[in-house]
Order: sequence, then structure tokens, then C-alpha cells
Amino acid sequence: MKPDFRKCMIWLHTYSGLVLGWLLFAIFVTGTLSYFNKEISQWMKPELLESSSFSEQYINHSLEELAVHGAGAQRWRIYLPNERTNHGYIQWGAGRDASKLTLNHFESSPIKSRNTKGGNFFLTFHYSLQLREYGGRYLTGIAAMFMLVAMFSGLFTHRRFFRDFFTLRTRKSKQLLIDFHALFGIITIPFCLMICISAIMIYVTMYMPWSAEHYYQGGQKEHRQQYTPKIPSLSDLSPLAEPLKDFGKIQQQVNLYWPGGDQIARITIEKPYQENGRIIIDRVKTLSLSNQAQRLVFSSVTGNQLQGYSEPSTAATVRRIFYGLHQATFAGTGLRWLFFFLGAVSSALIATGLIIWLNSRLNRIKQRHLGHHIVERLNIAAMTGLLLAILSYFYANRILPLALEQRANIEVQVFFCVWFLALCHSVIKTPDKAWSEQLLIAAFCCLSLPLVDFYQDSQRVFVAIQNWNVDYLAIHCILLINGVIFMKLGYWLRQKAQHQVTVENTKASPC
Amino acid sequence: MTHTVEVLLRCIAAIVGGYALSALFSVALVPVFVHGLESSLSSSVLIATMLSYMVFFVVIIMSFCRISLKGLYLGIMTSSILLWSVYKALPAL
Repeated sequence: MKPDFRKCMIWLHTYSGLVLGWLLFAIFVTGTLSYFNKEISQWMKPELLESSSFSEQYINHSLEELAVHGAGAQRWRIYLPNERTNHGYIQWGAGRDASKLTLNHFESSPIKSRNTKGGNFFLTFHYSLQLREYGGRYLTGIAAMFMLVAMFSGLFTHRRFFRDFFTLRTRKSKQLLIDFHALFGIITIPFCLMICISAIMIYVTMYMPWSAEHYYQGGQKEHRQQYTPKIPSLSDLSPLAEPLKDFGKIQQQVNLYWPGGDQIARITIEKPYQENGRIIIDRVKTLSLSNQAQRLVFSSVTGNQLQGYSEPSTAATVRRIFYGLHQATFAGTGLRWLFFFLGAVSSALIATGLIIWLNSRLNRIKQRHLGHHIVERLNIAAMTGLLLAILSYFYANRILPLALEQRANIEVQVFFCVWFLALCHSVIKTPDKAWSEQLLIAAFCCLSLPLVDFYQDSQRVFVAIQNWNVDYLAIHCILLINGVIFMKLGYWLRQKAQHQVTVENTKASPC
Repeated sequence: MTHTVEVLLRCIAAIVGGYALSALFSVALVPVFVHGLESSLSSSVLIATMLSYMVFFVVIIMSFCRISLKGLYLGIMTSSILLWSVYKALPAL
């Protein structure tokens, strides 16, 4: 290999970063958006904006609604509203056949909202890449490993760690880019390390199943059953009984275990019409790093407490903590913003890295080969193209007719179509033009989206201000701020390109 | 040996060799945990699987270090044999 360790690591950094850089960028951007999954989902269902404070009768109303709608179902669920979502919903049935109904806070009357995947699309895309059946999760696992290697080797590119951190050479744009890359890299070391390791740990037995396959007859599945906390299974042979209608008795017991109020995140009622039916109550996850909620179990007929879940083993808890760290289920608003900011900086780190790879090579060589062209086009399509795709997804949410069949899927198709169009655009145009044009279109989209929203229904913004719905307003603010940034960048790139053209012309003319 | 062939061989060592070694590690370490630390089988399997990523990571980094190709492959071989003998030496589960 190379003559010394540092050179080896620089080589490794260059190529491990390049190979899956675009994929990593897409994963990091959509993953960063997923920190505000619930807020984005709420923004994408503006029908749910009107809400009032949480009523004490909410759970009882939900139980009434469930008795009406979910009479034959084996399982009922009540998701309670919290600070992040201003609406709760009920669910009956299990698995893919479950039906869902969103409830208004106050009267718990059902509200109809538009059919959309909301922020959940970004969440599932960032780990399954819409290829769940085709090994998308393996691909993201590999990407996480690449990121780890790129990060570790990136540490060794710094000869003077602290001096690099405080250096910004603003005179030349190329050096500025390199300095920014180093700055972003150093800021995000702990964050990226946590994200990549926890990403691998979430699906750890799926990526490395050999130990479980070796020691268990049933493989991974049996292993998972062994280490997850257990609760006795319910038989179907129990006599019929009416479920309880007043939640007050259980609420009192819950308050003894979990003082402080508003501790319940979800209520699950299993076999509601049987005598052995039970109610499982999940606590909110803001109190521990683990994403395994604390649970209490009660009888669904008498409301007496039953035997709860078995204690999880330490190893299972460690895995759950990695899971919780990755999802930031514990984070309050401030911490969530910090994670969002670090995620955005990590995305910028990957983006600057990819651009530096290309720039430093184009400077040195006279004759370009195919690889340079591919990297150049993919850079544009992966970065500004992805931005355009995300924005078009938001636009589709607002503009598509509400009565459209398969509306949620069409929104997702719009996302991928626009991304593909951006790729085509980047191939047809010259790179300078493609960059600036796509950035300017993205800027226009960002700036006009709040206007479109306002034009469609001006009440939404007023209601949001009235109820002090920070999430809704913050999304509009972020769109506007990003719009201005993209516009500045786009114009700057266009000017630079024009400047270069005139310089080349003046060089050529004297002859 | 040309540069391309060397890089290719190192990539194979890193990806295939690293994965194989860490898979072996995740299997071989389970009896050590069960007999040595008296932890349950399910926990031991989970811990060994989670730790095996460290092995994978180390092999990847080692593969692209100054170490010679021969040394690299020899290293992977001897560690595999070592893990195999640990697994064989302890009573089966």
C-alpha cells in the first residue's frame, strides 16, 4: 500500500467515502427529517390543526368509539396525544388489517384527514430505501459500516487537529470548502459514531445471524423470542364478558406507579370481549434512553392489576438503548433540535466531501475520464435532486386532489419521478448550469410553498398562530430560510460560472 | 503485483475475510460467555453478535494499513484457527 499509516488512511477515507457517498447523503437527509417525523406528519395533515387541550374524558370517549367500530376485533389500541402531536387516534384489528381513526381531542369525535404517509415516508425510506423486500435494510447497514470506516480514517487526515478546526481560508472557495469539511467532520464525530453504531445494532442479528442460527433450532426468530420480555399468552377459551367502560380505576393505579401526570403513551386492549382480556399500558419514552417503554398490565373486565412483563436481560436492554439513541425517543424539544442540527451538518459533511473529491481531481488532470463525469452528475442529482424530490413530495401533499384513490402512494411516486427528472436534467445540462438551475428551482419551491399553503386555506396559519402551534410555524420558517440560502447559493454559482466563461474568453481573444 | 490487483485483494480480505472472521467470533465467543460469565444462552448470543462488529471493523482498518498482503491473510487465518480452537476446547452447548 502507501508508505505510511496516515497516507493509507487518507486513501481509505477518499474511497470509502466516495463509493456510497450519495446513498449516505440521501440516508442522512431523510433520517434527519425523521427527527421531526410526527411534526411533519401533522403539517401534512392540516385538517388536524384545529385542536384544543387534552380532556380527561379522552380515554373513555375513545373506549366508546372502539366499542362502536371495533366490535369484532381481537385487539384495540388507543394512542394518546402528546406535546409532539396535537391529535390521538384509535386502532382496531392487528397487523396490516388494522383500521385507524383519528380523534379530536376535546369531544373525541372522529376527524377525517387526507390520505398521506406523512413524515413516515422519510422514516421508512432512510432505513429501507423503499426496497424492504429486496434487501434495502442490508444496503443501509453496509452504508453505515462504510460511514464508520470513512469517519475513522478521516480522523487521520488531520495532521494538526486543533489548528485545522480553527482554520477557515475564506479567500479561495476551494480551500474554504476543504476547511468547512474538516470543521463539520470534527463537530459531528460523536454524533456520527453514535448514529452509525446504533444503526447497525438495531438490526444486528439480521446482519450477523450466524450465532443465532448455530445455537437455536428456530434461528433468529427463536432467539428473539428468548431475549424479549415475555407475558403469558391469552387463550381463546375464556367466557365472554363486557370490557370496562370507565378508565378511572386503572388511571388511579397508574398514577401510583408513574406519578407526574400524562405518563401514558399508548393503551392496548387484548381480547376486549373475553373474561381473560387485558389492558397493557405503555409509558411515555421520554424518561429513559431505552426505546422499550415501561408497561403495566390490567384486566380489561375488572381493572385489577395482572402479572406484568418479565424483566429484560441486560444484553437486550443494551440493544434497546442503542435503538433509543438512534431514534432519540428520549429527546425533548431542545435536544431534538440539536440532533436535527447535527444531522444537517453531517449531511453537509458528506456533500462537501463528495464535491471536494471531484474538484481536487478536476484541477490536476487534463483529460477527464468517464468516472469523473459520473461523479459530477451523480453529485448534482443526489444533492439538489434530492432536495427537489423532498419539496415535490410536500407540494404533492398540498396540491393533489383529496378524493384521489391511492393518494398516499401517488405522493411517493411524485417524489421518485422528480428525483429521476433531476437526474435527467443534470445529465443534459452542463454541470454549472445544472447546479445553479436546480438550486434556484429548489429556492423558488421553498419560498412559494408557504404561500401555496396560505392561498389554499388562509385559516390554517391563523389557527396555528392562535393555538401557538410551534411545529407548523417552524416548518414554514425553515422553508423560508432554506429558500433564501438556496437562492444565494444558486446566484453565487451562476455568477461564478459566468465569470469563468468571461475569463476564458479574454484569455482566448488576444491570439 | 499491480496496484489494482493489490487493492482488490485487500478489499476481499476486508469484506469477505472480515465478515467471515467476525461471524466465527460471534459463534466462538458464546461458550466463553456461558461457561465463563454464566450468562444465559440468549444474552450470550446477543452480546457476541453485537461485539463481532468490532472485529469486522478492526479487520477492515487493518486490511488497508501498511501490513503486507501476506501478513494480512496470515493474520486472518491464524485468528480464525485460534477462535476455532477456543470453540472446540470448551464443552459444546
